Amino acid sequence: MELERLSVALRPRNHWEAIDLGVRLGIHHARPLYAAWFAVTLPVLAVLVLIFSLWKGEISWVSPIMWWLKPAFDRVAVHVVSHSVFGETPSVRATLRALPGLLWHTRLFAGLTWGRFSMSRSLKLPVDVLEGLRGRPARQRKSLLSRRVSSAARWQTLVWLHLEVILWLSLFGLLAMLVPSSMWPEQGSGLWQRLTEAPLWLSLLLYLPLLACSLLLEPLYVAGGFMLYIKRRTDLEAWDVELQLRRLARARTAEQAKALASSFVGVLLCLLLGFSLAGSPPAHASDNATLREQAVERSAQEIQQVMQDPAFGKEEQDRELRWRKAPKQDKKTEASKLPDSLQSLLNSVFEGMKWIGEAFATLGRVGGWVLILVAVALILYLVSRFGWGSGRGSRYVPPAELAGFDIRPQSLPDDIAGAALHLLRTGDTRAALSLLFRGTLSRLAHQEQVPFTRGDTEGDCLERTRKHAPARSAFLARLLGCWQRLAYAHQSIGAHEIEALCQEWWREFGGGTHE
Amino acid sequence: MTLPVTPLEATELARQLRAEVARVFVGQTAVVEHTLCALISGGHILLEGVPGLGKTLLVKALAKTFGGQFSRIQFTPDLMPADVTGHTLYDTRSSQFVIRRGPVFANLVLADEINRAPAKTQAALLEVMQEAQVTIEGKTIPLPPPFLVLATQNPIEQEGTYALPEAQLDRFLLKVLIDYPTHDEERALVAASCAGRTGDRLEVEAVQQVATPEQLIAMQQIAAGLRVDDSVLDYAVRIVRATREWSGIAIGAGPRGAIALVRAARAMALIAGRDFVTPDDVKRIALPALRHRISLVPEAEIEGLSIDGVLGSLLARTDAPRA
Repeated sequence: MELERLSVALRPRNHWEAIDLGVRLGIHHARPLYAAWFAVTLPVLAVLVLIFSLWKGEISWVSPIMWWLKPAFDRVAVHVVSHSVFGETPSVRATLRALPGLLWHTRLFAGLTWGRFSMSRSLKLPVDVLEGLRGRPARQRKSLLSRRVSSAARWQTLVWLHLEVILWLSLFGLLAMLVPSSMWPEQGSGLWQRLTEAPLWLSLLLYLPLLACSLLLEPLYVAGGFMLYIKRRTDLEAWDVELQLRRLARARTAEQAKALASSFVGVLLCLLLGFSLAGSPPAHASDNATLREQAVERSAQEIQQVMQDPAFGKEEQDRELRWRKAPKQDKKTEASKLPDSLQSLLNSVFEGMKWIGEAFATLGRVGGWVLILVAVALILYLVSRFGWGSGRGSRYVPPAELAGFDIRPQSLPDDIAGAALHLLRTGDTRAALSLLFRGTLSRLAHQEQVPFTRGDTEGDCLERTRKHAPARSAFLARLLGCWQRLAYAHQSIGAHEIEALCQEWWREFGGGTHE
Repeated sequence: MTLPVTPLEATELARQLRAEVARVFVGQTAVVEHTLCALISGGHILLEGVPGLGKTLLVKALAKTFGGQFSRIQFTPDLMPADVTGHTLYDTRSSQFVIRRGPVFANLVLADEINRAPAKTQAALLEVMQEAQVTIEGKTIPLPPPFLVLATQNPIEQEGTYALPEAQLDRFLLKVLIDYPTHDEERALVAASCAGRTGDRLEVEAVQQVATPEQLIAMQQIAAGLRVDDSVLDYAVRIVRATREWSGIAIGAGPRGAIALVRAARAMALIAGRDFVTPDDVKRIALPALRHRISLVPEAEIEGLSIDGVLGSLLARTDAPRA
């Protein structure tokens, strides 16, 4: 890597400065960056719009698909930015030529599936695209790179997400204000229904700003993440120091060359003199040793001179807030001052406390799992007991008792009207009418699915029957009239009246022998 | 006009009273029914609703149907008890103290916005309601029967009001909520009120007198004698007792609640044309008879539950009587 060709100054930066630099870099190289970006994204967008408008007549699915495909497009942006930063801005044609490689060899599948929701994807993307690592080394590399800057990368993603949404809604609001109110669809239905059933122009009004904001902001987001990656590598590999050293070395080489040229004649003379004086190799070695010693002696003075340079010579005081931590070393020394017995006692106490803490932690873990299991079991029980829905789909279960009567079919004779007539003939009018009423309620609840509840009075039963089984309501009204006169007014009901009701019962619910 | 002697005659009279009131008071059938119920059972009504729904018109029309006296008291913060009940006045001609009777001496009294008056004045009226008599300067004067107080409360303006305490609310037989009329009812009401009328005066000329106060008293006696089966009585008591144990209700109704429930159920049975009370009568009148006698726990109020909603679920889960 030719660090000298980097178009950005390498120096220690904090995270936000690096992201800001990345965004500025993106803006600086906006023309090639956006040219390549739109050359890839717009055709895809056009194809998607065409497919969905022809297929479904609406384009609401285009935005989520474009959003999902962002990691694929981001590879193009990284390609352009990474070349631009070394002064090799690629042309659109070159980028398109590199596109297959950018899509096939950069772990795109992972980027579009489990990596899609990674909050620090802008930081990890350059590893996939530029370093070409795979498998375990790639994971280790990403882990190493993310170690100190992942929070900044996450925050960048969050900020960009909010920026996109704010810009989208602002733009949509602005456009919506320009639409005459008469053109808006009818109010009243739900928001989702209104959005899905909205005309095409309204869909365009809603989704085009979203697509525009998303596509315009994404390259800058990628550039921010890329510069964060460069910053992290600079920190890890000391690129700035290396670059400085290289520059120093180059300057030194140039000076040496100049000095070499000016003293070429002198050197030649010296060589001639040496040969003529028949000098020996040991003498040459001792000269080197002397030079080194001299250099070492001079070093202190040279360091002083270097330190007087404004770049190094001034003292600066930086203040920053840190958590106050008790120095461990001091504790050890303090503890070591204690007598051995006390020391061992303290150690055992600490060990005991540590063990108790671990026991509590284990207990908490186990308790947590037990609670989760209990909650799951409870949910399963409730679902099995009451079903998912309380309304449609859930089958009505009639109550066992209604208006004081047991209305379970098994508690009733097969021929209810026949049994009632039998009771009537034995002289028990009340029991006969009671049985007839009970049987009617039971049939209505179990056969007609009239949703009676246990608190229903006679009037409520009649109301429910009118609503759910209107054909039976006239008979029930007559039966109820008789029953109420007998039960609450203590009036006597004529046998012929009850017999007529029994006949009617057979007609309504079938069965029995018509006498 | 002959006095009704059978429940059937009383029911017919009640039907005529309703029909006459309906000539000027359009819609709000439940409110009219409950007012009639209170009149027949000799109780008093607390009416809650926003202004302008025809409360005065209702009372005025009802008073005219049986030729009763009507008076209206607008409760204000400076209203004194003597302004309601009456006071003594020194007559210089006769050199004697004479009693000047207050507006409470009428068959139907509309106590408008009762919660605007201070507790002392409220208490004076409530005492009159309970005793049906007024004591002025040591002299006790009974009120002319039938006597019905229809007190109103405004549910939206609570500033500068004196809320009626629970003990005094308990003295009302029913608390009726009066809501806005339906579209058709309101259209009919506006059409009827605007035809050839000038000014804001409430006109009840269309209402004919179909009964006398004596007939009403006879009706009350017939209603009080209607048969209530033990199972129905037990049902009413079970409902009232359930309010004391129901989760969501902090203070349940007392025995007076059960008494009111059965009294009102008798009147409802009479209006329905029966000479006996059914559980349906009890259930139908349970909300107006109990809603002012209970108060919800704070948690239920925070959750947005209403008294009517809680009472509704209580009624739905209270077993109907085992006949």
